[in-house]
Order: sequence, then structure tokens, then C-alpha cells
Amino acid sequence: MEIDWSRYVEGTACDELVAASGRARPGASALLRYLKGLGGEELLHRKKAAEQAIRAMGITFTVYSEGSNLDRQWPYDIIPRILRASEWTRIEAGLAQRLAALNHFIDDVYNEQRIFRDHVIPREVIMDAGNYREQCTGMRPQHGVWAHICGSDLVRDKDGTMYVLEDNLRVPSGVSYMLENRRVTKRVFPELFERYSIGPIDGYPAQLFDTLASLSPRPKDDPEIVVLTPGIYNSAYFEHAFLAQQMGAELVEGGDLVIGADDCVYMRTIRGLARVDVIYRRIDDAFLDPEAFRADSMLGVAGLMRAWRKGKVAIANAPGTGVADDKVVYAYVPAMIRYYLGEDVILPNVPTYLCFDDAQRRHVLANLDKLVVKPANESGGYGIMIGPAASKATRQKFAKLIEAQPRNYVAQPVLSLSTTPTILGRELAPCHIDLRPFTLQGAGRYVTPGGLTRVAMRRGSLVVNSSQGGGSKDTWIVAD
Amino acid sequence: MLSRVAERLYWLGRYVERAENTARLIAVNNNLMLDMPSSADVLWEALLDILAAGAEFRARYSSVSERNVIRWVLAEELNPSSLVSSLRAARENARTVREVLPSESWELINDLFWSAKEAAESATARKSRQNYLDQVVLKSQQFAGMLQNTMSHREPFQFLMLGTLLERMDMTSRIVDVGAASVLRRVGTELAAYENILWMNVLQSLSAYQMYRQQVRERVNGPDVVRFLLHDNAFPHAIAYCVDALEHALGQLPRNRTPLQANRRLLQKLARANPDALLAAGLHAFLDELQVELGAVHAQLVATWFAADD
Repeated sequence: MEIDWSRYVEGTACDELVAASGRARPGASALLRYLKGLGGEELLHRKKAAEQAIRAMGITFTVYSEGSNLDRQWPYDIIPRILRASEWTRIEAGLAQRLAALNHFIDDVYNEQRIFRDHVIPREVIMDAGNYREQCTGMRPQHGVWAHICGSDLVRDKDGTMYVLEDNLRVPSGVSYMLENRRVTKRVFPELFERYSIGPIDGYPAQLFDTLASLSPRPKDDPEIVVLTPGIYNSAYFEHAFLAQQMGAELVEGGDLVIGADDCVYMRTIRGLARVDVIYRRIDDAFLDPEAFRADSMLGVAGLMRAWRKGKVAIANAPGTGVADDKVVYAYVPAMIRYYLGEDVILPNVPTYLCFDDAQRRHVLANLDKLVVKPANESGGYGIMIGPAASKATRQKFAKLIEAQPRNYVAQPVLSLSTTPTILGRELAPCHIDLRPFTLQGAGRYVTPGGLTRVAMRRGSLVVNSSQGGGSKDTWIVAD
Repeated sequence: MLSRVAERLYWLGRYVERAENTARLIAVNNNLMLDMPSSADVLWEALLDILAAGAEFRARYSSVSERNVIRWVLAEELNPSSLVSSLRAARENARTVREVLPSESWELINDLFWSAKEAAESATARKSRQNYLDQVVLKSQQFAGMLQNTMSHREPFQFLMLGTLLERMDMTSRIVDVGAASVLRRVGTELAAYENILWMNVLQSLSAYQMYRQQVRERVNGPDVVRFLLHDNAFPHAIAYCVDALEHALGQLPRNRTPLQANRRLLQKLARANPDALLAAGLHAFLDELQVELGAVHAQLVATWFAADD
């Protein structure tokens, strides 16, 4: 493989490692020098070593459509993505700020609803959205925190600004891959770790454990924490098992849990029933409790909501948290930050048009060929229309959808998304990336130094979701 | 440890043991068939009986041909106890308890299932069958050895052992039963000359021939073979050995009172067995009673550790 760096630069708009001049960006020069010194063949050789390591370490993810062949190897690109500590400090503060404001919002929505009375957010936008859970009204979880684990997606536009694209508050996944990517990178490029001072990320499982433990209804005892998984057919099962193992928690399925006559949650063990204090659930609200939500759910635990409402068990993230995980609510986060915290917004939102507003909808419908249209309530990149790339028929279809259900759609300008060098076949290409850091909030707060960098593994593609063929990279926060 | 995890480990142990035993049984039958070509059909019938697969087989096939029987007991996924079905079930159970198994053992069971499934068709032909069966036996033993030496001998391991041992006793008692029946059926016929070969076949199905020879210096004969397979407490496929090992495994687990009682009833039943008398009359009835005791041990494991309390 021949690496032609001057040709590489021609293909870039905004690259994380290489400036338009062809020079390394601050913080990236040691990495680029190292890659140039390594040469193309050695780089491919390292790539192969990484693939073998991933296989040996059993890092997999699951794709629904592949029938019984459930395990796919985790797609990973060996060249790390670099962020400078000075920029990161700001991002970190911005993420903690967002999550704090979102938690205030959720607590307010299920209790006083001040934000509606003060006309910051229209009441019907939230109450009609389908994510509001009647069953959560009046609840006050520990520390007033509902969303304990948040995975926000950040993207950098061509002007260099880092925007928050969305906040995933339900069951955000990917953190295990962030940790495993680092382990693989250490194996593949051990020399580089001598030249850089890279922010360590291994503390996440301990931080998660502490966050969960701080929610226990029996704070004096050693809390029994479990990870509740839908089971092996879930695409993130690897992560569920990984986190349980790393925290020393039991990995349970709904059938392992039972609610006692005292409304406490118990798990069935070979020693009999054992009380559970904190459930880190990785299943959606709708499946949590067939008594409270979907009666046909085989994944949940009958009576779990009763136990939670009586304060016998903590659930993370709390039921009902999804009310704030919605692209319309997202548009109001800057307003929430000002309203609840009285602070200036640190991390900007991507400008977002709300289709339920008549003026904004007219603008969207007139500019469908320039905008990205997103359903308010989907994740994983499903149901999105990228205007400039869409056919006329698709645009017409979306126009109809928007007219029929304006509350369900938002539109945003097409962001260019920054790139970073990525091995595609036998070539080094600038591929588009985003970043998913993970933020924790319980008694304390924690933001992962870096996060999971997702990369579109096709030249020019903007789709980074692993469920749609995206890959990932290790992410380094390096001292300036 | 979660009850569900304990139960899946138990079944993982059972299914791997079942696959290995099935492979060995087919291999021995295959070999014997070459020695006794005229009674090949009888042998395949006996194989179906040992695997308790006769009724379902006859519902599907009109004739007991080698090809049909091999397909049914080896490759057929509609047969829940075929070799490939057993390996699939072993893999599915292993999958759900991956976090408690050494990671290489998961890779091995995964590979064992896929390679056995993909090559199953080739094993219907005689020339590649032996190699196929050898591979299954070898990898199953590799799996068992790997767990023995890389997994802590704590509770999860003991549940694997419970499954392995109960399955093994089940198979040993069936092989003795069918082996004896086919010998007895032939007393007085010209096939009586083959008695020696048939008992050797029984031993070989359990990889017991060599160990038997070291223990028993006489010509291979019915009472000695039955005595060895029931009462030897050093040979791992003999029932007395398995009962001892089961006692040890149960001893490592909490709340073990009723399972231990059930195992002791099994031991008492076994201790009363006199091979000479049984071969003269009543071996089949005795083995039936033994199977009932095995079922009782299994039921106690379920009730004590696996069952939902509500």
C-alpha cells in the first residue's frame, strides 16, 4: 500500500488530523510522523494484527438480519482520532451541563411542570409526544436524577465548531467498544503510547459502578447491582455481558427477577432469592413491566414499576427518561440550560427546524433538497432523509409525512462532518466521523475522556451507525 | 450464582456429553457392521433403541437402512437428540453463559458445532464417516479437558459436572441394556458365536475396552463386562464412578440435602445389583429402575436449584 499524503489532503474539507495546508494539526504531528515512518505495508500488517486481536478477544456485535449467525466482529479502524485536552475540557463541561439541565427538565415534567407554566416549552409538545409515561408522575428518584447514563453524539462541522447532534438518554450503547478499542490500540501501536500522554479511560466501569451504587435504596449495605438484558439476541448483548463482568454485577434476564410480597425485587439464585437494589436496565420502558406497560412483554418483570415507585429498587436510567430523548425536546436544550441552571450554553446545538411550527414547517418544505429530515423519535439512524442525496420521490414522500404528522419531524442543515485518516481496502482515505462520549450522573458526575469515535467506512458516506455498516476508532485526549 | 446460569451450564454439560457418546456409538456400530455384515440391519435397530430414537424414526422412514439411520441420529435437526442437534443445543446454552466460561472454551464449542453441522452430509458416506466422528469425539474431549484445567472448580463448574455425569450414567445404562438384549436375543442361534464380539462392542462404545482388559484378565464375557460398567469406581464411564463423582460435585453446592439423598438412593440401588443373577434374569428391569433413580436425581436438581419459586 502506497500512502500519498498530498492526495489525501485534496479529498478533505475539515480533517481532524491534517490541516488544509497538508500540515499536521496541533497534537497530531507525532502521530502523522509515526504513520509516515511506518509506511503503508507495515500499516496493513498492523491492521491484520488488530483483526486477529479482535477475534481472539471475542469482541462482537449482533446484526438482526443475519438469522442464526449472530456474531459479527466489531469493525474497528486502527488509526486513532485525536482531540486536544484544551478543547476537551470545554466539551466535558458542556456535556455535564447538558445532562444536568436534562435531568432538571425530566424531574420538572413529572412533578411541578414549571417549564410549561413559564412558557419556555409548549406543554402539548411534551405531553402529546408518546414518550411521557403517566406511571412516572410524582416520582422523585435519588438525587433528583433520572438519566444516569447519557451518550451524546457530537459532530464537527467544516467551520470547526463541535455541535451536539443528539442526546441518547434511553439505553445508549457503545461504551464497551470504546474500552475495547483502547485495548486493541494498545496492542497494535504500543510505541505510540510512549510518545503521547493519553487520557486513560479504563475507569469507566468503576465510575459506572459508583454511579449505580449511589442510587441504592439501602445505602448502608453493599448494594446488589444487576444488569438487565433482553438476552443474547439483542444487538448490544456483548456490551451487557461486558459491563456486568467489568463491574462484578450479575447479568440478569427478566425471568431471573421476581417481585416479593414486600414489593422488593429479588433474583433467583442457587442459594434462593437474593434482594436486588439497583437495576441497570438495557431494555426499553415499554418492555420493563408487563403490568405497567406492554402486557405482551416477555423481557420484563411483572410488578417492577410498583417496586420502583415504592422506592424499593433503583432503575437506571429511570423509567420515563425517554421523555427527554426526542429530537423536538433536543431543540429546547439550550433554553433548558438557561432556564434551570441560569448558565450560558457551552456546547451549541445544530440549528433545528421544528415542523409543528407553521413558519418553520413552510421553510422546511420549501428547502427539502437542502436539509436533513429526521423523525423525532427514532434512533440508530433509521427513517432519516438526507435531502441533497434523496430522489424526488423520496422528498415527496417525506413532504407528505411531515404534513401528516408535523410533531414527528424536525429538519437540520446538512453538516459536512469532519474526517480523519482511515484505512479503506489498500488506501488511506478521509472518512467522516462523529463522537459519542458517555456522561454519568448520580451522586457525582463523570464524563469519559474522549468517547467512541464512529466512522463511516465508505468514502464520502455520512452514515456512521454500526447497525448500518459504520466502524469505530480509538479516541485520544492528548495534552496540548 | 443465578439459577438460570446454573441450569444452562448443566444442560451444556449434558449436551456435549451426549454428542460425544453419540459419535462414539455410531463409530463402534460402523466398525461392527464390517465384522457382521449379515446382521447390519439388527445393529442399526439396536442403535436406534440405545438412543431412544426408534419411534420417531419409524414415523418418518419406512426402512431401517444404514443411510436413513445415520442421517437421523447424526445430521437430522428435526431429531432433537441427533448429534448436530445436541451440539446446537450445547452451543446455545454456552452462548447464554459465555461470561462464566473461559473464552477459548466458547470459541471451541462454537467451532465444534459449525464444523459438525457443515460436514454432516459427508458423514453419510462410509469413507469419510470415521474421520468425522473422530473429530467430534476429539473436540468434545478437548472441550471437557479445557474446562477441567482452565475453569475454577467452583459452583459453575460443578453444575457442568452434574450434567456431564448424569448424561454419562444415562448412556452407560442404555448401552448395557441394549447390548445385553442383543446378546440374549441370539442365545441358541448361530449368532451366539458372536457373543464375545458383541460384548467387546459394548465396551468399545464406552471407550472402556482397554481399561477393562487391564482390570479383568479373563476372556471378555457378559457378567464381567456388566460388573465393570456398573461397579468399577475408577473407570470414568462406569456408573459407580459417576455416582461417586456426583456425590463430590453435589458436596460443593449449597442447599444440597435432597439432591444428595437422591444420589444415595441411586447408590443403594446400584450396590444391590449382582451381574450374574441379573444376566440370568431381570437386567432390563433393573436398568429401568436405575433410570428411574437417575430421573429422580435430575428432578431434585431442578427443584432445588433451577425451578422458579413462584
